[in-house]
Amino acid sequence: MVTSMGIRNNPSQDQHETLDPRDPQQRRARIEAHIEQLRRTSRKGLWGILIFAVISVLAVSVQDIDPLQHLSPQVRQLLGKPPSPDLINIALAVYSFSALILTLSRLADRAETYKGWSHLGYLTGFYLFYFLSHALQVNAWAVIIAGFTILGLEYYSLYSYTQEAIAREKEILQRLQHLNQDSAGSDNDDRGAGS
Amino acid sequence: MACRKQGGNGWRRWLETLGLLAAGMELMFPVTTLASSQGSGEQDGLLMLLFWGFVLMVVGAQLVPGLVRLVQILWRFWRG
Repeated sequence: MVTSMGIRNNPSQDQHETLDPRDPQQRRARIEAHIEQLRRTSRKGLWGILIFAVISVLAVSVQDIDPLQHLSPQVRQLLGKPPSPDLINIALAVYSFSALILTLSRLADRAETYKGWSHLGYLTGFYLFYFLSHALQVNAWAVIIAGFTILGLEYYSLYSYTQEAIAREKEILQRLQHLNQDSAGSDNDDRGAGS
Repeated sequence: MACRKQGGNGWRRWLETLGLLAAGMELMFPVTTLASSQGSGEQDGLLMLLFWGFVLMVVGAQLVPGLVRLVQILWRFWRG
């Protein structure tokens, strides 16, 4: 907005004034930007799987190390005994069951939300507790299978949602294109009739 | 329709809060065990406390919403 003194005092307001929601060019640009954003969102799931794969490789490579071996007796006493592998197994089973229900229901609801980052945190926690109780060698595969299943389903849920949304947006783009062609054709007809 | 959906979400929130409270009470068990085990040799310590905190998070953020969702699905299925 330009004042009487010739000073531009609010550029964002000025931008709003030039935006016309019915302008086909701007509408098309907005839709294309939304499609690009949806494509970026769908790649989030792949990043989650990749980071989990890296964490799993790290966990498997340190599974033979005893983390509490080099600690002083005072620190060991403060830390106490690690949780038993049976308890961690139960917690992993409960977690996997609940996460699968939630992920499958999101898949059925066609929801946009991605919960892969929190799952990465939980799965890393399970690796850590198995590692501390010297049970990673036996139980690493359980975490790997649970992790890839949950994160794979999360990715598929997000991917299917974004693909549907992209298809809808492309359909709107096509309709806009047809409308533009029709209006351009009728303008030409009017001009032809006028001359 | 919107009111019905809002009502449903309200119930879900209440159930989730109840589940969190139950999980909090569950956490009291290892905390009291830890307090009573002090001075009786190497028993439960910080690692167990961390583990039970982790279990609380799993229960509050995954198990309770998961069970609520499962009950909702079964309820919908039962009602046709």
